[in-house]
Amino acid sequence: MRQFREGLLFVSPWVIGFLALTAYPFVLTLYWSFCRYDLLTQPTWIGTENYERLIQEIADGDGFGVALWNTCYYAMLSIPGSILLGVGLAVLLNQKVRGQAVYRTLFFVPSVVPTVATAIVWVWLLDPQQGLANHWLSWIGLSPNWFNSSAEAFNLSSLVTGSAGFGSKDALVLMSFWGIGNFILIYLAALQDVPRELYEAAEIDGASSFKKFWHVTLPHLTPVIFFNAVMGIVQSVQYFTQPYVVSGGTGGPDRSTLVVSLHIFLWAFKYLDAGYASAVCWSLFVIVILLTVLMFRSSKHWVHYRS
Amino acid sequence: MRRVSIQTVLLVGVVSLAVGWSIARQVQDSISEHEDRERIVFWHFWGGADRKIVQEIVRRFNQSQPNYRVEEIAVPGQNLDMKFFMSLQGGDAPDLLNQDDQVIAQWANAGVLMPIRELCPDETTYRELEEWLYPPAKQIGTYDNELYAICNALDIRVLFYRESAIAPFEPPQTIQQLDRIAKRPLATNETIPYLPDNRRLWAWGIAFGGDFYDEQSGMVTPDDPKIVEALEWMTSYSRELGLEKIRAFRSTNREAGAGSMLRDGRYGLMMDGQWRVAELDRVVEESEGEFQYGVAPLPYPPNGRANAGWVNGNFFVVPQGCQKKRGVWEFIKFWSGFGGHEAEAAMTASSGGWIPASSLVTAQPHFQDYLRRHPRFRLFVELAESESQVPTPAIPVQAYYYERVNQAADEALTLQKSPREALREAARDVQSQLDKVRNER
Repeated sequence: MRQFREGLLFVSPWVIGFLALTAYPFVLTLYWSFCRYDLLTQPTWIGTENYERLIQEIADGDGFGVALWNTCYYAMLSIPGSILLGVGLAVLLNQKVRGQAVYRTLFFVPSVVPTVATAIVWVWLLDPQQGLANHWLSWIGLSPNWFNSSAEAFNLSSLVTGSAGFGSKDALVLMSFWGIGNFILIYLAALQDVPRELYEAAEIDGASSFKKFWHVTLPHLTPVIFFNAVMGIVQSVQYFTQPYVVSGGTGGPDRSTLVVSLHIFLWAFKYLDAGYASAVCWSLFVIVILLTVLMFRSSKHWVHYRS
Repeated sequence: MRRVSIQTVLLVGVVSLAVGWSIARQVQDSISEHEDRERIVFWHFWGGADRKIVQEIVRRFNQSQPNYRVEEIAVPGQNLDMKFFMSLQGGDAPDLLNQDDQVIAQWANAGVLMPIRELCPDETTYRELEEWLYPPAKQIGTYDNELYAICNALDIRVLFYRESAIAPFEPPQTIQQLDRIAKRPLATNETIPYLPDNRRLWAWGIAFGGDFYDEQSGMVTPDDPKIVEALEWMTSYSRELGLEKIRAFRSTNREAGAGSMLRDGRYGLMMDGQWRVAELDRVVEESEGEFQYGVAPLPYPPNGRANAGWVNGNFFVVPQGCQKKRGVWEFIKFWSGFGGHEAEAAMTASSGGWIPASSLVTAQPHFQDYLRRHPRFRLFVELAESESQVPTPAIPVQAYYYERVNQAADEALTLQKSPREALREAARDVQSQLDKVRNER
């Protein structure tokens, strides 16, 4: 009993911090989401008005609808992209070659560069006229307008109408690959855990390199891929700094970088409608929970745990 | 290893806290012993080189003051708003703020700002202050016929032009003349004579004779036919030049700003503020006369407004419940120049290249000397007298109104919607927000 009391005492700083700084605001925003609240005066109860507005905006493809689409577009490209690229690079970096440690460090370095600095450098790199990216792309006849365009390269309706092109969201997706060093690190750690005897057995059976990767390496990486996918969803929802920096806090051009976090920030702190912003937060929370539950349900079919 | 008991850990913790608190108290007391002047906590948004100017103003004030001592705290960007809200909730608001965001109406409507009337020693002084300010400066600080902010500097936009780029024409005075210069075919693709920006609808709308708000009905009117006409005219540039060309052109030198684009010849004309004057004057000097530029009031169509434009500015606001009104009042006067401080304010305005908030400051020898050194700045102070320099309407959803109209203008300029449709939608959205806020009061 004494040990229990002492244990409680030692964890109490965290418990108090969590209750006061996380749990309490969390519950409070639920209340605010049913209020009109301008951060300056007392909240006024307005029932489900904020949520009705959200549904209307999704139906009209306006406000929250735009922000949700932008976030989805980013997530749908950046999460699978970072998994493919991360796994691929991790497998390469796992090869026993000279200077292996140097290569690993090089790929991790971008992850420690401050986000704002990285974003500004990318704005310059992707400058349509003077940027290095377009200089190289011009050799194959491409010159996207990147951060100055709201075009979407992977939008089906744009592809049909012929208005597709690389725009600001594609640039953000490209930028996100710059910071996959953390993911690579996790994949590398997982790769060390693949039993050697499985490769030996596969070799004895005459398996090719690809088959070894497909039937041995990849199944062992699936728990980590699953973890990164779930984290990717959460991070996509929290994605804020880069769109804020590249658009100067406006979400432009033409609201193409208005991701959900930026939408919340603008409505809470610029237009002082924290009630609506709280409703957006809670809707998003529910969406993330649903997606995570779906991911967990689907994991039974594709994630292989060694135990 | 010897086990440390929980009591020992707690004891050490408590003793450390007590010692820390005692030291902090002593430091605080020793500061107070040496400083018996009243401390005014002043938050402002100025950063970089401008902050040094602010620090110099504060230093001069503190040196001149036997009773008050201002402590400046720079909180740049949008953090100022957020920190201010937090400080209000926490009961530890600053005594004074200097801001430039469009927040006065919103904050005043929420009841967190002290009306300037309460700061003035008497009603006569308040009336004198209203008279003292330039008309746009008064308008910026006014919400619901009451002054809630004292403007200390104005930001006014005019048309800058590179002389060689508009030759053989004279600086445009009408929209037709501007079009003649800006829409003529050019030999090079590297230059665009003039390109309207979505945020400039606020200025062109007024120059075209439009009004963004109807006081009588209390309705926002971004879809005023004159404003629609202004946006239609702006959109004609998108049609003529083509969106891809405009986007590619705009993207270059984003960080360097439009000033450099005028300087290096990529623009022939551009709408910009007084802060470009000192910058471009330096270029004129460095180029040994090769680069020459001029400034002109915004051209306008028949039935439009002369000397018109959109104006904003920097202003002081005092949180409701401020206990140090007299010290705050003294500092505001010292910086803005009201109440016999015009000479100090003229020094301040010329050190920052700012447009004073009153003609009496402009008239001071120090500022006149600045105008002699920067003759193109004179147009800005002349325009400060104009009733047609109009800020964003002072309604409780002012910031949203500003951004929503910018969004509508962007939609029209990128040819996604017709100007009328885009502005109608903006009017609907803003009015709905405004009605919501009004219904709560």
